[in-house]
Amino acid sequence: MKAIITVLGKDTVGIMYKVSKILTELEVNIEDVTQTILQDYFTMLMLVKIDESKSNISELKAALNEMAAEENLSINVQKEDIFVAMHRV
Amino acid sequence: MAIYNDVMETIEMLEREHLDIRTTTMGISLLDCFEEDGKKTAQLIYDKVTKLAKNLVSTADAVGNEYGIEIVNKRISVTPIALACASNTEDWVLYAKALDRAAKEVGVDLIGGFSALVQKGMTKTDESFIEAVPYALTETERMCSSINLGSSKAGINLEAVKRMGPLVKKTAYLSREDKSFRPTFPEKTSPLAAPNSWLLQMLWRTIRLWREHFTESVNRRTSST
Repeated sequence: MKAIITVLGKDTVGIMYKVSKILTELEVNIEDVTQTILQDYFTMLMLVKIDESKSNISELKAALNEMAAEENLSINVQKEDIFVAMHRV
Repeated sequence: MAIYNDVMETIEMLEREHLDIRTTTMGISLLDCFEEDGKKTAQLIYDKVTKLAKNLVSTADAVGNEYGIEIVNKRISVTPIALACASNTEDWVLYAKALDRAAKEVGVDLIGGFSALVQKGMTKTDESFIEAVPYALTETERMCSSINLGSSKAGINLEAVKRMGPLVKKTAYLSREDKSFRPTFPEKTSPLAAPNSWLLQMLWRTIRLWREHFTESVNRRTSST
């Protein structure tokens, strides 16, 4: 299952490391990453593939939300289909 | 990648414009639940609803979670009771309570279908049903009731319309102590306190309809003179 992770928040050292660490622990593969800094704000979008025999989206969400609360970030995890369904005819 | 623009747009809708899915509804037929004995019927209604809808809330939440879009209300809609349990004129409130109990058991926000379809005329059953509506609404929390008074095919049943005024007043009077219908609001807040409350929405809607109606009749009058 493909999902998109969005990370928004104040830029600090090691955000990418912390996110990818969680992904590694849950054996989630990163397929694409795009990242910019907009006026001091860190914005990252990741396209990941979740191997459902090893982990699931709610586990990933829980782990990332915990990290987001500690680091004061906003992290969303959503299935890729929703973006396609909402924007393509 | 083009999809990233879409992602940001969707995130904005969710975070800033509070996009959500208002409701998901499960339809359940009660046509096979009618028995001579009212208590038995009520039990059958309860059993069927709780059996079929037991995973509704958890599934809706799981889907909402997966896509990151909250489904605010989970609701059940059943066969109009006056139709499903016709020929029984005594036990309406019993059925209403069974529906309400089932709704609470499965955790849905609303259950609809305590209804009659009278656009083509009222039977004795429908009449007794309508009489029971105020009591049923007073004794339940999550159950909703409706009475269909007209359709484009059958026209409007004015006899039934006439009965609605006293019915609404009676319901309001009997339920004057209740917190009434507002499932998405926390308990003990006044409906006027929340800026988007149903009461205000209804007010705006009424004002808008009234204004439309008014301008239309003025236009008609000026064009005729």
